[in-house]
Amino acid sequence: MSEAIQPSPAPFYTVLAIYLGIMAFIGWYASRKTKNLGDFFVLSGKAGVIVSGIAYFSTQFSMGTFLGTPGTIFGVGYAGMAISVPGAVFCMILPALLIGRKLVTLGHEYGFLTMADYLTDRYHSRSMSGVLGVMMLFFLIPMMGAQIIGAGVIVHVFTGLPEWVGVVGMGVIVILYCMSGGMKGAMMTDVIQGSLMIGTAVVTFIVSVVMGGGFENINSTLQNMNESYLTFPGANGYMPWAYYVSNIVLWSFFTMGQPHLFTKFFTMKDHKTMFKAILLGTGGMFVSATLIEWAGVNGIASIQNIEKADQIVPMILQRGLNPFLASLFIAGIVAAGMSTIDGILVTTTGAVTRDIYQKIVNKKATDESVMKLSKVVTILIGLVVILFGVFQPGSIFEINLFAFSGMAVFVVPILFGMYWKKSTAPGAIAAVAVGVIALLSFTLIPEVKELAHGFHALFPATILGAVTMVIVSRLTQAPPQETIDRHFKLFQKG
Amino acid sequence: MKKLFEKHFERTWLVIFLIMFVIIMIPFPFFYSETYIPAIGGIPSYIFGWFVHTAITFALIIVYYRMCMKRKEYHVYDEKNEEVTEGGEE
Repeated sequence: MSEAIQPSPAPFYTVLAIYLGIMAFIGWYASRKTKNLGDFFVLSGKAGVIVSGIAYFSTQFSMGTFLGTPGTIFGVGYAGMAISVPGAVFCMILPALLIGRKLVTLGHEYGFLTMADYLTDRYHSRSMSGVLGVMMLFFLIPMMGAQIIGAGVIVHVFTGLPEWVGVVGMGVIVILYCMSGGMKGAMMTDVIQGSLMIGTAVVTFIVSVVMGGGFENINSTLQNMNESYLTFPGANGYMPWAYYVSNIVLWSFFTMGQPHLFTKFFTMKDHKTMFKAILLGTGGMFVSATLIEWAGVNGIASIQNIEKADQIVPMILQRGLNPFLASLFIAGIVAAGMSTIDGILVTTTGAVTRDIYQKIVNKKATDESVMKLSKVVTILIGLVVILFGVFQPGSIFEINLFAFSGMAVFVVPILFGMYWKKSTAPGAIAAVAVGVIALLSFTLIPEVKELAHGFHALFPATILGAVTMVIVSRLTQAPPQETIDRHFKLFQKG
Repeated sequence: MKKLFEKHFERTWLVIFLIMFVIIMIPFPFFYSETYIPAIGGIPSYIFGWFVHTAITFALIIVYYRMCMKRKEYHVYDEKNEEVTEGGEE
């Protein structure tokens, strides 16, 4: 353990126990109110403004945002804030304009609960469910793993215990309350967690400014250390223009492909709720992203000798506040991770039980048996996530980015499905397959990566996926006219 | 202009937001600068460029929301929900 880490286990355990007790109570309360499959997965389209808005941003913002991104920015400087800040205002309005408005309507009219419900119906093919389910298991488990690694980092900094203790502890707690309350438990806890996240971002930022001796002092220190901390592309050249553009598009436009965010539109009770949720969620995202990332920059001037960059935010809180207050606000970061995991865990469980089991394996399965199976599947997926967190194959930010990009490939079948009547199931499946192969090639093979000219691998992957969609759809048979009418006539004028 | 909003409401707003989306990507010195241009407290000026752009976009979202609420297609589910609430939420 590094000398820079000064554990204060007693206050940390006390605050965490109180916080987790409250979360457990909410999970139990929600389980008593969860009556059917619709409630379990999407709250039966009854979510109001506060729940919808805060749940959207607290699900999107995660350990990646609160630990991984400031950790990455710690090596870059102000330019690193381009990861989220310039594009944050588009995080909800772009998905809402392009698909959200239609999803609220489709959810109410046809009772869709998940992304698979939509894709299966639109493309008139059960294979879409299977493809999506497999992709979700492949990419969303690492995304949950990234959150749980963050819990390990926090426990290590605050108690001195090995990281695996935090990983296992957080995993068990999330499994328990997701299993009992489903989406209702997840969204109710999201509200508390989201509020705490904003509080943590504000406090961490203020503490980092005070520790650094004010803006003037921080910025002159940064200038003396290395002026690149104050300019693009950043101290380690991380943020050239092409990557600046990539980040703006990545964390706004491509959120449409994330099943756990896509589903949130089905939970909204009407369009008015959707808009108010956009205003609330966008405000929350902008404020938290800006302040927590800025704290990462300020930390460069005042904190050195850290074991790994992911520890920067916990260390700012630990050094700048008394142990109880630091533990209280660190709970906000635990909240960021938990609210993301619970949203994804419920969605992934839905992929296995409803999209693969109920729609493909056992079409006669009743809702009751699916509910029972869901609880077992939640435990199994949770255990795999815990193993992932224990072995830690990369940094929080790297894993999060990889997983996010993988699911983002689904933007192609979603947008084409909504705007192009001639798009077909074989076209959609081929587009996803080509998109994923291209994404992996542009990420892992240096010679291929060069062809992207500094843009994120998702850009060429999406373009290739879209071209494949058009070609294959032209060569294959479109879904029945009745299906097309069901999806397009609702939105025709007059 | 009024006709444009009446005839192509969604499309017009989509174009407006896409324009704002593209503007922030243009490497103007107040959005993306490879030289240090200090503003208040020595903070790089592009940080304030992002803030101003965000404020304008956020204001546009509010205007869009208000215009949507004046259109009947955005109130289709209002009544249904009122009925649900009256009968007790659960």
